Amino acid sequence: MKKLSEVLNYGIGFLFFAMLAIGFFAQLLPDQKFSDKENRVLETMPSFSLASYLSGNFQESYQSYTNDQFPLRSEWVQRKTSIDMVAGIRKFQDVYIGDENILIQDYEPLSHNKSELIATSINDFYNRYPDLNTSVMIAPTKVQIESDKLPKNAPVKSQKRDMQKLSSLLNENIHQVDLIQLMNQHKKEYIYYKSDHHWTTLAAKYAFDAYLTSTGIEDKKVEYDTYVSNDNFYGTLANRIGYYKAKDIIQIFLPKSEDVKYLVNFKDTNQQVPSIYDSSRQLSTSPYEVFLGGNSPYIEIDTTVENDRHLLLFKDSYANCFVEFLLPYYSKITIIDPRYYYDDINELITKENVSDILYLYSADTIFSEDSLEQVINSK
Amino acid sequence: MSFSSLFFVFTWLPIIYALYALSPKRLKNAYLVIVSLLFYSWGDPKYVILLIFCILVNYGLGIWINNSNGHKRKSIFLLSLIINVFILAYFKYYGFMLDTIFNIIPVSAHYEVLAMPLGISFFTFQILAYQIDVYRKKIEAQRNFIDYALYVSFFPKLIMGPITPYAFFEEQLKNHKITRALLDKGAKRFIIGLAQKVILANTFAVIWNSYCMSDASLLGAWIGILAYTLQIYFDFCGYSHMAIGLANMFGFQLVENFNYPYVSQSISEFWRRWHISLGAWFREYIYIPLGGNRVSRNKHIRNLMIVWLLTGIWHGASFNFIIWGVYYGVLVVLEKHVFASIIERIPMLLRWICTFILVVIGWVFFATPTLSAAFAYLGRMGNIGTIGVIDNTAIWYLKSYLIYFIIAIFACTPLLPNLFKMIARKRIDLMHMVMIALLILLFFLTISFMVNDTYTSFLYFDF
Repeated sequence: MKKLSEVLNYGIGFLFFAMLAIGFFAQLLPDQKFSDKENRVLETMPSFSLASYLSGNFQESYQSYTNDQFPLRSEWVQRKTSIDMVAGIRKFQDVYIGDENILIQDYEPLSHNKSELIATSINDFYNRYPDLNTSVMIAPTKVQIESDKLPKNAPVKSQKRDMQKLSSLLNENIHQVDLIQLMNQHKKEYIYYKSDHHWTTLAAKYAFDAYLTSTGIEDKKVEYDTYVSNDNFYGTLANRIGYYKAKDIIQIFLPKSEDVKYLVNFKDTNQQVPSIYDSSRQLSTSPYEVFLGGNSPYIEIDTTVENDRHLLLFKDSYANCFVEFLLPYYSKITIIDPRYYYDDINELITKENVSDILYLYSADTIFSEDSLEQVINSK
Repeated sequence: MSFSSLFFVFTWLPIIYALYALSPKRLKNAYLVIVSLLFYSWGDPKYVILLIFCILVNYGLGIWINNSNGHKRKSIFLLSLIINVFILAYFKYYGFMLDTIFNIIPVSAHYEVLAMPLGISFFTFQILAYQIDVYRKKIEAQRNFIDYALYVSFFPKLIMGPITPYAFFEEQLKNHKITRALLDKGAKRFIIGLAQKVILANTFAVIWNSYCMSDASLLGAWIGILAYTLQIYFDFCGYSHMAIGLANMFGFQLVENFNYPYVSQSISEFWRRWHISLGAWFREYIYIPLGGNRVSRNKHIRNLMIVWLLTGIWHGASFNFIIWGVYYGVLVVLEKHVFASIIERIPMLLRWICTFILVVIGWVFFATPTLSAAFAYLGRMGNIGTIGVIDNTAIWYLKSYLIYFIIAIFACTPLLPNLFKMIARKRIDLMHMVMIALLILLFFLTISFMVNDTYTSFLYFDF
C-alpha cells in the first residue's frame, strides 16, 4: 500500500521537469536586441572570460541576459498585472489604474524644497539676462487634473502645492500662465492621453493660446486643420505595466494656410529636415515621437517669418507637440532639452541674439530631476 | 545564485539535473561536488577558495581527531574549533568589532572591511557540529574526501541551510538514488517554496520597504510590520522548501526547518517551529553541554541567556540582532521561570495572540538597520511619532493587499494541507488531479511574478 502523499504527488516531478525543459529550449530561440515595450536595449549573450567570471560581471550579465530574453516576456508581465487587478491592486510601479482604465502616473518630487531650488535658478538666470522676454509654463499632469479618476484613497502628493509655491517665488517680471486653472477649464475634453504620460496636442493648443495672451505677442489669428497621426496608440504607461485596455489617438494641428516655411536643424547630428514631424515614427511603437522625432538635446528651427524674435525654449517632451504652434510667430526657435545638453548656454545666448525665453515643462519632469538647474546655473 | 531566479530555474537546474541523471553512479558524488563548487563560485567567485580551504582542512582534522587518543585528541579538537570559529568571526564580525571599538575610543582608523562570504554562517556551523561529533565519538570521521566535500558543500543547503547534521547525511552519501516518490515530493516542495518566495515574500517586501523608514500612521506602522512578519517567514520558509525539494529531486533528504511557527502558543514553541535546524544546533552543541535544564534555576537562566545571546549574534553583526537575541532570552526565561503557572491557565486563543504580538515586536529589531530606527518604529506601533491613527496611505495599502494578506495568513497555518489530506482519504483520484492541476497553475503564476520582477521599463528618454 502506497502512502497517501505519494499517490497525491504522482507525476508532478515528471511534469515539472517537462516544463523546465520547455523553458530551457524556448530560451534557445533567437535573441531580441531591443524591447519596444520597455523602450530599452536588451542584454545579449555575454562573452566568457576568466577575469569577468572572477569579478562576478559575467554571472550578472548572464542572469540579466536570461531575464531580458525570457520567452513571452511581456505576456508574462500582462498576466501578473491581471492577477493583481483581480486581487484589487490598482497601482503598479508608479502607475495607478484609474476609472475607465485611464493610467495615471504618480507624482514624486525630488525633494521638499524643489520649488525653491528651481525658482532660484530661473530668477538668477533672469537677472543675468533681464532684457530677454522670459516666460514660464509648467503643465500639471493627469494626477493633478484628473485626480477624480484616481482609485479611491490613492495616497498622492500635491502637485498643485509645489506648482503654486514655484509660481509665487518667481520674479514678477517673468510671464506665467496658470495651466492648472486652464486645464481644469477643459478637463472634460481630451487633454491627456489615457495610456501615456503626455498631454494631448489639444491641451498644448490651449496652453499656447494662453501663452500668446500672456506674452502680448501680436494677435495674428492662425487657423488649423487637425489630422490623426495614429489612432491605435498605446503609450508609455501602458507599456510600462503591460496593461492595454484603453488606447489613444495622436492628433497633429497644421495651419490652414501654408505661408510659413521652415527648416529644422538637429544640431547634435547636423541633420536638416524641412518638417517638425517624423512620419517614420507615426506608426512605430513610440508614435509620440512623430513630434520632432523624439527628444534631441539641441534643435534650431529657422522660419520664413520676418521679425527679429528669436525664442530659446527650455523643455521636456511635453513641448514636443507644442512647437508646431510656435512656428508662425518667430523667425528662429532654438530648442534645448537640458537632460541631454552639455554645452555652455551663456555662449549660445550671446552668439545667437536670443530675444525670448520660454520654459515649458511638465510638473513631473521639472520637480523630479535637476538637469535644467545644471544647465542654467552654469556661468 | 538565487533559487528563485529565472536563470536558476530554467537554465541551471535543467542542465545540471540532466547531466546528473545521466552520470554513472560511482561518479555522481564527485559530479555533485563540482556542481556545488560551481554553484558557490557563481555567486561568490573569490571565496570559493575559502570554502575549498575549509573542506580540505576539516577533512584532515576530522580524521586526525578520529585517529588520536587522550590529550592529543583534545588538542587537535580544540585546534579545529579555534580555526573554524576564527574563520567565522574574522569574516563575519571583524568589521563590526572594529566599528564598535573605534566608536568607543576617540581614535580614527582606516580599515578595509571584508565582504562576508556567502553562506559562511551555515557551512561553518555544519563543520563545527561535525568536528564535535567526531570528538565525542558519536560519528566516525569520513575518510572518503569526495563524500566529505559533498556533505559540506551540497548546493541545496550550502548557502542558507537547513543545517543538516552529519549523522543524518552519512548513510545517504553512500546510498542515494533518484526515486519516483522523491522526485515527485521534491518537485512539489520546490514549486511551493518558489511560490512562497516569489508571490508572497516579494509582495510583502514591497509594503515593508515603503513603510520601514517613512512616516506612518498607527495603522500604517502595524500594516508595515505585519507585512515584514509575513515577508520574512515566506522568504525563509520558501527558501527551505526549495532547498529540501531540490535535495529530494537529487535523491537526498535534508532535515526540516519550519513547522508553521506562527500558530505557536508560546515563545518556546515558536522556536521549536522556526528555523528548527538552527535551534537544534544550539541545543545540541551549546545548551546541553552547558548543563541544559538539569542544573540549578540560576544556572538554567544563565544557559538560556547564553544560547539566546549567541543566537542573536549568529544572525548578524549588529546590535539589533544582539538585542533581538537577548529579547528572546528574556522572554523564554520569563515563560519558564516566572509566568509558567499563569500561562497554563490562560485560554489558548489569548496565548496565541500574546505570542504572536511578541514575535512581531521582535521582528522590529530584526528588520530595522539601527537601534534608533527600531525604537522609532516601536514608538509608531504605540502611536508615538505617527501622523495619526489612520491615514490614506494605510487604507490604500490595506485595500490593495487585503487578498494577499488573507492568502498569506491562511498559508501560515496547516489548514489547507490538512483539508487536502482529509478529502484525499475519501476521493484520492479526484484529489490527485486537483493537486497536480493546482501545482502547475501555481508554477505558472510564479513564473509571471518572476518575469515581472525583471521587467523594468525605461520611460526616461521618452519624456
